[in-house]
Amino acid sequence: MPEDASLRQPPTSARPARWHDVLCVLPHRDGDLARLDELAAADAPVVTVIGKYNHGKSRLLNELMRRDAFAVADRRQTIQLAECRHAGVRWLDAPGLDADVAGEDDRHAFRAVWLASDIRLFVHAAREGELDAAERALVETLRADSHRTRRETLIVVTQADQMEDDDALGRVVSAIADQVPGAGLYVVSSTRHRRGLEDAKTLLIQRSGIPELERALADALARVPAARAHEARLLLGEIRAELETVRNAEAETLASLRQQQMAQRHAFDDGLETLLAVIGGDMEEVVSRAGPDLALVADTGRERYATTAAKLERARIQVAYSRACIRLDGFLAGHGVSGLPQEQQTAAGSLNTVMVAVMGVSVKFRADLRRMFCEEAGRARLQAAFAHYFELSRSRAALRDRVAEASAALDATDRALAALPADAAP
Amino acid sequence: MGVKIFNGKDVQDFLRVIANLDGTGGNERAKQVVHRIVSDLFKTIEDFDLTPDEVWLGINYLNKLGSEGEAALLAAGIGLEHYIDMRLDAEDAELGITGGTPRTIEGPLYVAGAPEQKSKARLDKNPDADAGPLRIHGIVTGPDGAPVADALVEVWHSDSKGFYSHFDPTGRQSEFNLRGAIRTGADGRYEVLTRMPASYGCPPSGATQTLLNQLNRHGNRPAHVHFFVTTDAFRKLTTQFNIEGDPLIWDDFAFATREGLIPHVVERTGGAAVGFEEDAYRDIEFNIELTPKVAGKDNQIVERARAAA
Repeated sequence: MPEDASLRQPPTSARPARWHDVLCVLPHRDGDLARLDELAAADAPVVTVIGKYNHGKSRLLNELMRRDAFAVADRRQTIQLAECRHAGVRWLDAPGLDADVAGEDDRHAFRAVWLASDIRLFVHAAREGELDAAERALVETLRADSHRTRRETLIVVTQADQMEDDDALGRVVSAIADQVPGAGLYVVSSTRHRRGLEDAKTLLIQRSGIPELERALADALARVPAARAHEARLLLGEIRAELETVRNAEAETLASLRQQQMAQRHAFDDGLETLLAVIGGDMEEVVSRAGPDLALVADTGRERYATTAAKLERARIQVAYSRACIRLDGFLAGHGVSGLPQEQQTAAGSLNTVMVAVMGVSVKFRADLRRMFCEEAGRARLQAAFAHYFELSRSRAALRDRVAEASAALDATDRALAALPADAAP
Repeated sequence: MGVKIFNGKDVQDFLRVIANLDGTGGNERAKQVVHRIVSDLFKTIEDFDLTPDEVWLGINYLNKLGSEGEAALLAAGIGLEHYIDMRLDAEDAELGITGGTPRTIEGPLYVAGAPEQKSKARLDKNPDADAGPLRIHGIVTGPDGAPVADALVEVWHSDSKGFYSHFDPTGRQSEFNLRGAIRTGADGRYEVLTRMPASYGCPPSGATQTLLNQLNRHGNRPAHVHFFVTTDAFRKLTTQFNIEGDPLIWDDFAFATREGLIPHVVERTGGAAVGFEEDAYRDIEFNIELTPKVAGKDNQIVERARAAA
């Protein structure tokens, strides 16, 4: 390994600290953010060689770098991403793109092809004939990406020397050209180039196709700074637009939940106020009967099993009070208010109701009923006490949780937008 | 229409099958009781020509009663608990047992485990602005009038809102507030300092009061203080006294009021001397006379589910 060659494992995901807030909202933008990191680093341009194993990727790289920086073998190679610097360019050899590539290799391949590369050399051995379905699909994807990000892809037909004759080579090249119309197509032979260099044979070097490829590469490399600036603007713009879309949706959700919260409370308050006014009117009649309040007159032991006027009056008052409570209870149940919160529940199930907690079970005489239902202050006390339990009810608590969640989501998106730089500077 | 089929052979045979009267196994007593109760229910349906809707209303009511946990409350309201007391009284009369402090119903709100104190206890642990200071004291004696030492006097009552500690849905009372267990000394005396209880009733929109509404009855009780008095030598006494002057005293929905259980309430001053913060307080003397065991046994012990803390 030459001294200036560096082999490293660069990070394969976005820098967490810089993009934490954005990743919280748009985790699927991890790749784009990692690419923005690469762009922000403003390092030398990256040329990635892509292709199936044994199609001569490493040999091509070695020729382009004029040295044997990358291991060459006839078995599947380039398991790990290797990077070498030469002539102001970082050269990356991607793991072989094959059906059996999975796991670690995929990550490295992804990084080499998508995160790091500015220019892709898509390598295909001439002897294999046309591109197969997987290669075609990848080339299509790369060309679509070129269109979007302006990262260029050069298609390189390698091992031209292994073909029987020029006709056979010509047929393959033309077939490939038909498969990817409009793509820059370069036919090379690493073997000829090496021999030409070793034997100082200029013609052989020319016939290797490498000089022509190098010229095309030099042109493409000259376009990299402009392409990078375009790509950074593009990615930031897309991410900002997506964040704004998310933010608008979240703001709308939050506003609608708050609206629902207010509407529920208003419906509860208004309904209860109306009902208490109706009950107050009815109760006014119950408690303003003329004559002495017989309910306060005690009976005697001799009357224990007798019906007395006092007993009838106590029954009348209590039944009226009970009916008022049953109406209130029905209203409360309609608004999801009936059982007590867990922490207030007692061993006596019959007492674990909001009605009992608010009204108590003490005996109510005329004066009590007048104070509770017929006076403004009494009704206001009941209104406030029931509203307290309304807010503690399960459905209200659930709605409150949803509002808190929506509010937190909106805050997170605002943080993400604030964390997004105006341009791609580091 | 009013069809009459109850006395026919079909219905009578049917009733015997329902209770499995002629089959073997099971509990004979349970069979007899179920046979009688279902027979009486069938007869009621026939006599009043109840419609199917009315019958289902009743069945759904039982579900409501159960889900609200008010069965014990309804038992008091329809006089079951007092009827049991009437029978125990009649039994005593037959056995020739007279005298003693009258028993009355226990109610569903006793909690076992109040810390035991010697001779005197302060029961109120939480402030209650609507309940004035109340001193209750007395002497526990046997049938011969002699003081009973080491009697355990358990006392429990409501606060001014009608709530008992451990059963207060507002969560305002601490454990064993207004509850106490006092062990008498050689003089047989007990004394508690507490706050005045309130008259209270059934939950106003609950299952019991809903049924009482149909009877045009209230579900209220006069203010009262519960007692258990337990000794080794005598029968355990379960009773309550009512607060004199309460208009509900003879109009108790649970029918627990008895002559002899309405001690005088005396207005006193000098609260500091007995241990109150206030000067004016009310004073109730409630003496307790226990009754002898029957053939060495307490024939009145009631086993029922009770809360403990």
